[in-house]
Amino acid sequence: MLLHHFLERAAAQLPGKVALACEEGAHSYAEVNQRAERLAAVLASHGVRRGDRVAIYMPNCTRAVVAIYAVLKLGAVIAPLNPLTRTEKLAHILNDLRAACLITHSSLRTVCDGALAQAKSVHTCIVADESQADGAPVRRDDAIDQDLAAIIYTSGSTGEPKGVMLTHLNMVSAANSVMAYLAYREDDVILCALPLAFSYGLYQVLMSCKVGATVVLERSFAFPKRILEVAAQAQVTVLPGVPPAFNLLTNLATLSRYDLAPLRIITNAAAALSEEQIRKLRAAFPQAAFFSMYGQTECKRVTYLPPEQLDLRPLSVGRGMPNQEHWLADEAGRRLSNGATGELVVRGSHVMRGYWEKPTQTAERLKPGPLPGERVLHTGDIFRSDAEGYLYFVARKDDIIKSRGEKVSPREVENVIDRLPGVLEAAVVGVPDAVFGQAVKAFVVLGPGRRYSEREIIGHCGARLESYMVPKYVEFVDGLPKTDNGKIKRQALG
Amino acid sequence: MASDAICSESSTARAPERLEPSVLEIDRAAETARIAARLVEIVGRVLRRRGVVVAVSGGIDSSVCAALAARAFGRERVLALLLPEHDSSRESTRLGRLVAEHLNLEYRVEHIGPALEAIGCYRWRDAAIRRIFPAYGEGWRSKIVIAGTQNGLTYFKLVVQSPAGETREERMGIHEYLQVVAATNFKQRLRKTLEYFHADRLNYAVIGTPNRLEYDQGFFVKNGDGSADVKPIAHLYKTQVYALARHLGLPQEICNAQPTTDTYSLPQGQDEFYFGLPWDKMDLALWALNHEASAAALARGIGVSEVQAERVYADIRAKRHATRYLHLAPQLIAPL
Amino acid sequence: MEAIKPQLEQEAIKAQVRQYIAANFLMGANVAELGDDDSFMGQNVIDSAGVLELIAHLEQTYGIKVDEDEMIPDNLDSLNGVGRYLQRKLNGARA
Repeated sequence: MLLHHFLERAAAQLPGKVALACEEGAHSYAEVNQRAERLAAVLASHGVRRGDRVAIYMPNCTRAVVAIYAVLKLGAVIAPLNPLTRTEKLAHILNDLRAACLITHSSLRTVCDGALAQAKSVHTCIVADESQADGAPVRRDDAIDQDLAAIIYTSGSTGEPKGVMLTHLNMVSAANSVMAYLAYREDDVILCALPLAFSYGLYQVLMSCKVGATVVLERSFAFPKRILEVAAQAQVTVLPGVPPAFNLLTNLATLSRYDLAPLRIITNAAAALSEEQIRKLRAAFPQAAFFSMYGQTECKRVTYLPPEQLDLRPLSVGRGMPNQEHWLADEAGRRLSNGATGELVVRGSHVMRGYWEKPTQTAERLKPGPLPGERVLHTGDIFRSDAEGYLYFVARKDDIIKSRGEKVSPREVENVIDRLPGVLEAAVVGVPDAVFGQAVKAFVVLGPGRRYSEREIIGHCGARLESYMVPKYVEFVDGLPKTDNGKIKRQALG
Repeated sequence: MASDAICSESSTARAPERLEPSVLEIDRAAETARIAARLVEIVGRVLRRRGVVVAVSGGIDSSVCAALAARAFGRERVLALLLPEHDSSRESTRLGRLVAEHLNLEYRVEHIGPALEAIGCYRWRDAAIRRIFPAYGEGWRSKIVIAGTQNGLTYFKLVVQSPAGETREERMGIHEYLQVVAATNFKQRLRKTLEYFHADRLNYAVIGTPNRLEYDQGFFVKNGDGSADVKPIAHLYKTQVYALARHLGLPQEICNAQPTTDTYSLPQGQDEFYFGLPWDKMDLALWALNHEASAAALARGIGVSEVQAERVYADIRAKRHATRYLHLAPQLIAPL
Repeated sequence: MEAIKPQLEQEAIKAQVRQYIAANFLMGANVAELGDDDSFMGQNVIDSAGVLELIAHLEQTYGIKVDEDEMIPDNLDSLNGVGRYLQRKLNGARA
């Protein structure tokens, strides 16, 4: 089973069913499949072959999905890229991929022109919203599920973008595992405002095709009122989001004016929500079941918390998902039993093949597993587990600050600073220190009219945290650097 | 008819029935000489200062003021200041430099962004914007536009552009509007603070650059760009400022530029933000009102209906009334 | 009975707005003398910025949102205007 077979099957079984809705209108499975076939022929006529990497640099829209499936049908590899990516980075990625082709949108032409000037391998650029001459149907070289389907770029903690290699088998396995617990249905309407360049967003479309549901595509969560208008009007049943998006939605004073009765599933991933944020979210949408989840691009997803566990352990992300094994390992790599803290290791057919053309970084994350020749994923994330094996996120391994011989979780310190009235956001990092190894430094964003001194912030932490966790330095800033996916860019601080 | 428009509007002539752009024509050489002479008299004798400081923004008004100052005092007694901040367009700094160098003036570039950050200008503004568009932040741009002028109920809309390039607009409530304007007023006031610093240091006077339209209609910030020791072009209609610019030989680019506010991060015309009409029509309307021309004459002159012309007059009067306080000196309880 | 209710509502609204103007706008004529049909802006009771403030107050007090196409003097520039507009708005019809 390959990813595009889901679309082809849906087109055969539910040809008239609305697959996608976006600003261009609503499009049925048959139409999406036909357009993908036509575009595949065009790509083939330009010389795109099985195994070629095709970058897809577009905002969320039907055309982007058509492009994705067109490439997959040729047995080529999609590399979806966030439309906010700037010229330099786009050029860097195109060269890293040795991409054969770039599919984009007229609104992004200027950035593309700049990048293509520096990308030697790209022989074809297709502007999806401009008409192309049809290509003759070409006899295609069918892929097998061991072939790469996608290379998804992630920044990780070093800041340098790495392409996560995912085969059809990886992605179909992941989709099957997620569907086993989320159980999207044919009558679901999924609102996807997450970028298709982000696996969380991309899979909304892949999984929807699998069950024949409808996806409503929005470009972003930039305009929360619009999201709610669309959700009410389209009678959305599933809303996947990330913490910044949920904050925007739950803080809207007019939230109750929107009729979202059909909403039955809300999911969160990419970063953890605080207990207060979860409470607000459940209070805002009592009609829906809320799923707290964790995963990473390198394996798509690892774990989800069954909604019935929320009252008992609201901060847990669960204890795994179907067709997967995982455990916590200590610094020596030994498996730990429940109740300990260590690095999360994941085993399963959803684990990536590695980072594209980066053997060293790959070797740091993929290590030998129990069976000969097998690799398991060392996530680089530290978790603790309770007596029943439920997992709680502690910190990214690389973010852990080692100060005075002790380990400090930045999140723990941030949570304490966040409690001060008038603090909008805080980020805590380690900075080199001659005496301590690393010193703890906090970057704090205050609301307007608010003034705190460094001493006040430090004093507040000192009253609530172990002494080695208390920040030595505090800097007040107007904003924190974020990635395109809304996560705080710690490596850009300190 | 054209000659009496040397800008002393104490005319008791009959209300004109023909309204043409030519009513604003002036004898440029004579006017330049007059302003230069008056500048010397005011700065030297009345204010007893040794020269002038002028902030140049690359716009037509400050450019003409700088040129007039150079003409009046010679380059040795004029200091030009370029004072960009985070929302300033790169164009304005480039054009400001162009003018200063064209006039061979000594100039300093001082970026006031960090000072504005420290005083909370951007934070206060962004907090108000977020009450309307909660996701507003880094990488977003915004501007305010005026609306409802045709209904007689003026209000304001906020236009934002997300980092992805999507634009949306929404009506601003009065509190959000006032907070954004108050926060952005920091820009003009901080600039004036720096102008007075240098003026004090050099024993110079500070030039204010509003033109007649802006001055009359209260389009300036109290103790910001409204503050000055002398205002060389406050008696000139904008059309006349442009005319002087060409006469003074300022670079083409400066002479051709359209008035913007350069205060908000999305490019914003003055007509979008403050004046209901484009500036050239506003000039004629103001002149017409000052000369008691009928609404019908105005309507013919600027190509609108008579009803609309009435509204323009009403709006001009209303703005004068509403902004009178900007011109007032501090009020005392009892005369001294 | 139905016809009386809207009238009562409008009177209540007008009284509340009259009181708000008296309490919040220092300029302007003696509010007690303000006629129900007098133009706020025309009589210089409150200026256009004041009308915007009144709008914010109405939105807050009555839990409504004034749409852009409702921003006309007929709806907002006199006590009778505000009374009629608000009464229609609160009862669901588009003003």
